[in-house]
Amino acid sequence: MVDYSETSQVVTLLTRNHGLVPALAKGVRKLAVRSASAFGGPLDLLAEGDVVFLPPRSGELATLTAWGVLNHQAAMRRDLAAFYAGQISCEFTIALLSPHDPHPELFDQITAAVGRFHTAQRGLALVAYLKCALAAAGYQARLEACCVCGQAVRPGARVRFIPAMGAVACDSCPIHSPTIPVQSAVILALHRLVPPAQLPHRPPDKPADAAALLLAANLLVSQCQATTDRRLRTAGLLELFFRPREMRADI
Amino acid sequence: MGNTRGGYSTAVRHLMELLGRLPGVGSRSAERMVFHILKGSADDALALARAIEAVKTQVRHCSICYHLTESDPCEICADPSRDQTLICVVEQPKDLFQIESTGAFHGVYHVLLGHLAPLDGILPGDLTIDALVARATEKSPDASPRIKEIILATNPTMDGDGTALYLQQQLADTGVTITRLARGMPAGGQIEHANKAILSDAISGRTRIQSSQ
Ligand SMILES: [Zn+2]
Ligand SMILES: [Zn+2]
Repeated sequence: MVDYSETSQVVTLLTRNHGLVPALAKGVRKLAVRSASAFGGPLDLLAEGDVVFLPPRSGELATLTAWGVLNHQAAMRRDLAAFYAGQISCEFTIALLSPHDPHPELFDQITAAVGRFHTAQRGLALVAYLKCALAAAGYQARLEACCVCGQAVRPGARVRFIPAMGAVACDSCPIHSPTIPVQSAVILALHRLVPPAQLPHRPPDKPADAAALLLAANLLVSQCQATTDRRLRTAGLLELFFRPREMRADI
Repeated sequence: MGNTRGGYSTAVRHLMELLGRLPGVGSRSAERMVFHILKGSADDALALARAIEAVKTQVRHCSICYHLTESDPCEICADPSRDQTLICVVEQPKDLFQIESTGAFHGVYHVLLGHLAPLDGILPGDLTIDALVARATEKSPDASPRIKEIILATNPTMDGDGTALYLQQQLADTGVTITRLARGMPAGGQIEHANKAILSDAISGRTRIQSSQ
């Protein structure tokens, strides 16, 4: 998986065994036509492939020496919503993981999520991946009980989500950080949501509620932003992803 | 760091610094350029200075297609021999020059001035998409769309493809035929040496050469 910056030719690779690897890729721009070189296929955003790199000598930057593309995400290139979901997942991962910190399980989850972004499971897959990424980075959201009084979140109750803590609290318990009011049904569904790889490829009998998924995704994005103290540039895409043009009333 | 520029006068240092900011010009090359300018004639140096001033003061974006031009509309938009009902959408003026150099395209252009790159904070509002949609919405006197076809010639990168998808969505209601550049095997290429991305594009984008009946 790759974040490709055109100007610097510095790419961020998400590798299965070495985690995020910022790497210098010289001559990458001309790859598509020179397939006989050590670089097989274009090194593009979210492309999946085999990579060989030299570890950094000083600083963080590794040197990419060989690349062979296995999957250039053909389906994502034909589906605007999948494109949005890919961008969001990419930025979320880069924001949360530290370089050279291996997370093989997260690698498998983003692969599973990306494979579902062009299916009817796309909304669930995206939210499930954001949840996984936070957990992998050590910020697993605590959603089953109030973080102040310990009382279990009950169906039908109104609770508050605390982005800076990745936790919930009852309406009445005192909290000093900013909170987002939310129906407990959203919190409980988010708590039960399985990782992307465990989502069935077949869509559920009852389609997921897009508004609830958007709210859940926004909670996780706000948690990511509060924990990393940085604004996600792709956060604005969530609205476009969950509410496609034909469903929006303002157009 | 590392380059010693002590001993140079303020004016020389300033020019070196400005030249050193140009793409592909390091401090060594900047130094060589300044010496070249100092050694050459005053006329040549001033001609260079005036040429730089001219491109910045006289070259602007065409108000129709956003190509770089000194006259508005640009020569291509103003050319009655070109098919004004066929628009080729490109990311950058340099892509337009490249397509023009083939001599294979006789329509007009629309330059987006970039591509969607949400990770870099580049969103639809940063491109000339609204102007393209406005062009696509124009009607002929008989109320049919004035534009017949729009070719999306953004790069086949993930962001270029995403940009094309977004444009496709924005242009869906205009009734204009939307096409995308073909992709796949280059002429003269060999399947044996093609990478998987190119080969799978070539298979999914195959074209019919003979009908079954
Ligand atoms: Zn409580
Ligand atoms: Zn023009």
